[in-house]
Amino acid sequence: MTKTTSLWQLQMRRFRKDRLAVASLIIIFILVASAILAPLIAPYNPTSQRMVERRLPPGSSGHLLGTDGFGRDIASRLVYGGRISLTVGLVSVGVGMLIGMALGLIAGYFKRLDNLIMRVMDILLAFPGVLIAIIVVAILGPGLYNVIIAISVFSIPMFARLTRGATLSAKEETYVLAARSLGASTSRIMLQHILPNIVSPIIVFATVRIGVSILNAAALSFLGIGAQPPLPEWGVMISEGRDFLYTSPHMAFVPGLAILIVVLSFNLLGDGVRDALDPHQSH
Amino acid sequence: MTAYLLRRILVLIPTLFAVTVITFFALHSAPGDPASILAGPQASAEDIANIRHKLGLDQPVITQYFRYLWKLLHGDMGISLTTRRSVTEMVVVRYPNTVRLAFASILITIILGVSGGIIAAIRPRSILDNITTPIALVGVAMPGFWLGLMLMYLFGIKLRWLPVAGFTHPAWSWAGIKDIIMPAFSLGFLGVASVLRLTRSSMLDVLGKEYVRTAWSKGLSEWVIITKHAFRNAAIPVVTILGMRMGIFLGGTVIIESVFAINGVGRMVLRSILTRDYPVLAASVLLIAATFVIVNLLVDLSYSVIDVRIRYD
Repeated sequence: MTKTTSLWQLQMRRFRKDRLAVASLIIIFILVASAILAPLIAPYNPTSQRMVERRLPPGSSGHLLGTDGFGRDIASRLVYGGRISLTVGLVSVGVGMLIGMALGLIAGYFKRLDNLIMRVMDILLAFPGVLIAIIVVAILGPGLYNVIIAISVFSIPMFARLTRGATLSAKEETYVLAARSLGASTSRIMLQHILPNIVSPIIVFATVRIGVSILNAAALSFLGIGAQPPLPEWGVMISEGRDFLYTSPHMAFVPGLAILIVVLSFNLLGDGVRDALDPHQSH
Repeated sequence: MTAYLLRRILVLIPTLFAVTVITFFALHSAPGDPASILAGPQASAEDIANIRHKLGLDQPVITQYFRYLWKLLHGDMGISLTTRRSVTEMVVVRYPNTVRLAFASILITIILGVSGGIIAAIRPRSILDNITTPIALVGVAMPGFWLGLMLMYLFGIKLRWLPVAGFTHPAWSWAGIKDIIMPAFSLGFLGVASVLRLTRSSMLDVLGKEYVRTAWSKGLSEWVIITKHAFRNAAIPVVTILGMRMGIFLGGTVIIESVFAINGVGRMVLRSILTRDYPVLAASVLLIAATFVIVNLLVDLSYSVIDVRIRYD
C-alpha cells in the first residue's frame, strides 16, 4: 500500500521547514499563555505603586526589568499589557475581517452593489494611514474600546478590496457554474462554494494585519487618545517612559522592544502561512 | 495628456467633496456643543443662544453643511473653539512644517531605499544584500514613535549631536537640516525596507534584459548602464510603492510631530481631538486628505516622465 499525503500534511510539512515562522509561532504561543496566566506569572500587581522603589534599573533585585516612575514592576506591567495588545489585535482584525469580507463578497458577487460599496471603500482609503482611525476616535472619544472600533474600521476597506477581487475571479469558475446549475441558492454559492476557495489569502492578510493593528493601537495609546493610564498598555508605557528618557531610558525601551518582537512574530507567521498555503506566491 | 490631466482633476473634485461630507457630518454627530464650549463655563443660556445663532448652529444640518462648504471655498475654515483664532491662519502657519517632514521622510526612503536596492542588485550576495531582509522585517514591525524616542536618547541626549525637539531653525540652513534628520528618519525608516527590496528585485529583472547586455557590449561605463539603462526601466514599480507609502507618511506625521514636538498640522489634529476643537480638527483632516489625493495624482503623472512610452490620452 502506498502512503498518501493530504494537502494539509503537505502544507504542515512546508510550514515546519520555515524556521522563522515556527519560532514566531512559539513566541506567539508564549505570549498567549502569559496573557492568560498573567496573574500567576506576574510577580507584582501591575498597578500597585511603591514610591520607594521608583525608577530602578533593569536587573535590580526582584525587578528583572526594573520599575517605572511610580515604582511599578515593568515586567509585570509587560505581561498584563500583552493581554491588552493581543485582545486589541485579535478583536479589531476579526471585526474588520468579518465586515470587510461580507462587503467584499457582496460587491464581487452582485454587480449592482459593486460600484456603490467600492466607491465608499475608496473614499475610506482616501484618508491617509491611521488618519481614519484617528477620526473615529475623535468622534467616539478617547479610550481603549473606541480604539478597537477605530482600528476595525481602518481595516475594513482593505479586507473588502481583497475579498472582492478574489470573489470576482472565483465567480467565473466552473464549480460555481456547476453549483448554480444544480440549483444552489445564492447565499449557498457565496458561503459554501466561493468563500472556502478564496479564504486562504484573506487569512494570511489577517495574520499580518494583527501585527499592524497592535502597532497602530499602541501608537494611538502613545498619543494619549487610546488606552489611558494607569492601564499597563505598551503604548501608554512608552508614553510614560518618555518623561524619564533622560534618567531611565529603559522605561520606554522595554515596552517598545516587546511591541517590535510581537509584531515581527505575527508578520513572520503570516509570511510562513502564505508560503505553506501557496508556494508559488512566495518571493 | 491635457485631456487626461483634466479628467483626473475632475475626478479629484467628487473625492474631495466626499471627504468634506464625511468630516463634516462625522464631527457634527460627535458629542459636545461648540456654542457652549466657545461661550465658556460662565455663559448664560442667552449668550450661548447668541453664539449659536452667530455661528449658524441653529440652522438645519444641511444648511450648515453648505454654509461650511461655501466658506471653505473662500478659504474660511471657521474659528477655533479653544483659541478663537481663524482656523485658516492656524493652518497656514503649520502646514509647511508638515509638508517639510513628509517630504524629508520620503527623501530618506528614496535615498536609502533606492541606492541600497541598486547596490544589492548589482552585488548580489554581498554583505549589504544579505542584511537587507532582516532590516526590512524589523523596519515594518518597529513602532516609529519608539524609534524616534530611541534616536532622541542616543543622538540627542547621550551624544548631543542632534536637537531633541522642534523645528526651530529655517528649513534651508544646516541647523534646520539637523532639526529634521531624526524625525524624518523615524518616519522614513518604515518605508526604506520595502523600497529597497522592490528596487532590488526590479533591478535584477532589468539587469538580465538584452538591452542591458547590449549596453555592456558597447563598452559603456557601469555608472551609465546602471543609472540610464537599468534604473530608468526599473523605476516604475518603485515610484508606485512610494506613492502608496505617501499616505502612511502623511498619517504618520500625526505621530512623529507629537514625538518631536513639531508645530505641524498633525500635532494640531491631536490637540484638537483632546480639546474637542472640531473646526480645527475638520480643517486639518481635510488638509491632510487633500494633500494625499493630490500627491497620488502627481505620482501617476510622474510615470510618463520616467517612462516616455506611457502616454495618457
